[in-house]
Amino acid sequence: MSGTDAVADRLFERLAAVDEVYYTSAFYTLLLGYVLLVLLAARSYSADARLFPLLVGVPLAVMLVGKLFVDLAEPLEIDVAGPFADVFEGIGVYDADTDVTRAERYRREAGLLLWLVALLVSVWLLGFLLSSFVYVSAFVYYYERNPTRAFLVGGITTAFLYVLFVRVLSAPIYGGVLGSLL
Amino acid sequence: MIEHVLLVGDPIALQQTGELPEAIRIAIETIASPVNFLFLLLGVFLGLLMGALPGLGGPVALALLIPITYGLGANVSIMILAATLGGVAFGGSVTAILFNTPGDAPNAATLLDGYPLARQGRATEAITASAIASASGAIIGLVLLLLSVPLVREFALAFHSVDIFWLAVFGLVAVAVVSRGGILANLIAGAVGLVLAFHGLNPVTGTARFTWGTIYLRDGIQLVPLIIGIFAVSEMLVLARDRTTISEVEIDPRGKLQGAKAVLENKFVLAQGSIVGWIVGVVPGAGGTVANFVSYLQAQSLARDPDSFGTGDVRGVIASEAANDAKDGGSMIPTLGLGIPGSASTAVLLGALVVNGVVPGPSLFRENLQLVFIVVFALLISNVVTSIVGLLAASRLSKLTRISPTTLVPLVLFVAVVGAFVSRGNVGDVGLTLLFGVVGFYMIKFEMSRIPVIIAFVLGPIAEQNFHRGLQISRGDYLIFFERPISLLLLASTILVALLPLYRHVRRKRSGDDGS
Repeated sequence: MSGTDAVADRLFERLAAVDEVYYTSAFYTLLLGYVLLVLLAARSYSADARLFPLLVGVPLAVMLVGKLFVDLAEPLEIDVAGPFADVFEGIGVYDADTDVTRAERYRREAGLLLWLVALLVSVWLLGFLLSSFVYVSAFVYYYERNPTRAFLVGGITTAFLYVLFVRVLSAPIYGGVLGSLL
Repeated sequence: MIEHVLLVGDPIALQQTGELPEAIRIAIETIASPVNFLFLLLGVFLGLLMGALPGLGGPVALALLIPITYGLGANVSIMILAATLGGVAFGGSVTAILFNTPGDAPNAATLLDGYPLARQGRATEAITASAIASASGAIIGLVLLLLSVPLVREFALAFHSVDIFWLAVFGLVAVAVVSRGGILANLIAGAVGLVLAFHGLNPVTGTARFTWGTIYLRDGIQLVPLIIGIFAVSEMLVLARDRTTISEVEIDPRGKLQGAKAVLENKFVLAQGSIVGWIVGVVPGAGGTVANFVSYLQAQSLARDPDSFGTGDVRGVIASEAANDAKDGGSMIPTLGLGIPGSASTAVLLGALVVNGVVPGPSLFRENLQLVFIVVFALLISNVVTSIVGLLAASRLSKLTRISPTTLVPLVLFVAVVGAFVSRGNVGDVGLTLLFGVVGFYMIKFEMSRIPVIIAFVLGPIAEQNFHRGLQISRGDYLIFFERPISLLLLASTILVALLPLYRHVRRKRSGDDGS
């Protein structure tokens, strides 16, 4: 376990050493890639069907290239935007005022992505009601190490979902793969 | 027998009319019946709860209630649904303020200033201001609706497809300008929303676009998983990553007083927001989503200190919430008068009318005028009740911003994914929700505004469909987009709004030069 932790620490330290602007650029590059795929696919549609995708997709691709250009020029200290810097600025990052390092933040992000995958798998396997208790309890216990609180929060979540969706609204609730087998 | 007529399940034939005094009498009797009034209150509280649950909102709440209310008769069914609609609007604003997650697209503008207020420990003030502004806006919107009943047909028919197209374009540009951050980032976000909206079967051309060979995407990307993912899930991921509560400061105990005072001091903002919301709400299809942004933009433009908007200015909450509730009154004109929904929620309401054997449109005013008054009175009572609940519960609701994230996050995540599933009963929507949650998380991380994505997603298809419709009407002549006075007015407004960032940039530079 400590070996795995050491490997993970080194990995996140290396990730943290990379300038943030490259991650931002990677995000916008992925977006650009998807837009280009959309534009390529649109070519095979009728004139009416491809009109709006092209009207939107082409300027979007140009804007993404422009944004990438301005962002990637930043580490090189080239002022591309000039007096129009505010046109290219983002919305500002939440200042969480935490004392964590970037490496620790990346570690937490990776952990949360795994929790999301676990959510999807647990819902698919166990269905909503059972997985709500299992997942919520596990999540609270993992971070707070308080079994009583974990079971209480899990129980309240399950009860709330059951009362609102099953009893009041009679909404269909997915029972899960294991639920359908039983 | 006569008493029995007034209870739940009374035969329609004895309870419908086209005469104004009779319609008002039937509406009052329907609502004043003790059992029916209880149902109305239940609808209000259910709407409040559903509106507050991330992503559930009006359309899902109403859709789930249709089968439950079906056997109660048209008058009572519509009464309950209208009351729920009133509750949903305010419930959605609470979520927008506390969790930066709009209950539905029309609540999106509220979070621009509502959430910053919550993070500053002023959630009570924001919720109080929202409660009072919502009720006031709803009352103004309903009064305007009643005054315009004789002119319903003229109002609803005033808007041509090309006008709706330009309104959608105006809305897209307004959102890009109003949202936080640079105009380019917001335009990119809006364009991304449009691209997402183009997925699936296009109703105009009959082409299935960008399905990538999957059956799931033939229906396109759905709004509910998108909203829940890109807002609720991503916000929870941020909280869990940072291990901080939503508000890092103590809740201001004078919040209620501050909120009430803020509304009284900004009566003009309230009034203009309500009127703008009502007018825009009248426009079929696009009005519901655009109304609160137009009102927000106008309040920001008229303010002496527009830069304070977006940082926790309570006027932003007042303007958007007044418009959001006033628009319900306006959207009843095309919904009831022409059978064309003003928003997704009113689309479901229309479905409820049809299911109950009522034909929406001009004949409704001739044969079921009582339904119009039932909707008006139910919305009125609903908005007053939700505002009272909001005022009483504001302090308690604000405490949610201090709950430990490791408790709040899994709870909200789970309610969110259930909400995503319930709207269509498709497990794939859960996966899509989580995928958009990850996308939304990185949008926050890389400073890209999410609101334009949602608004563009809603307005994009409206713009495209009305564009093609306009061209079909004119048989391919593009001049039709520049002929009507309303179209030209909207086009001019769009250009003015698009130039607003440049004006602000020049003004900022000038005041910077003067200062130095």
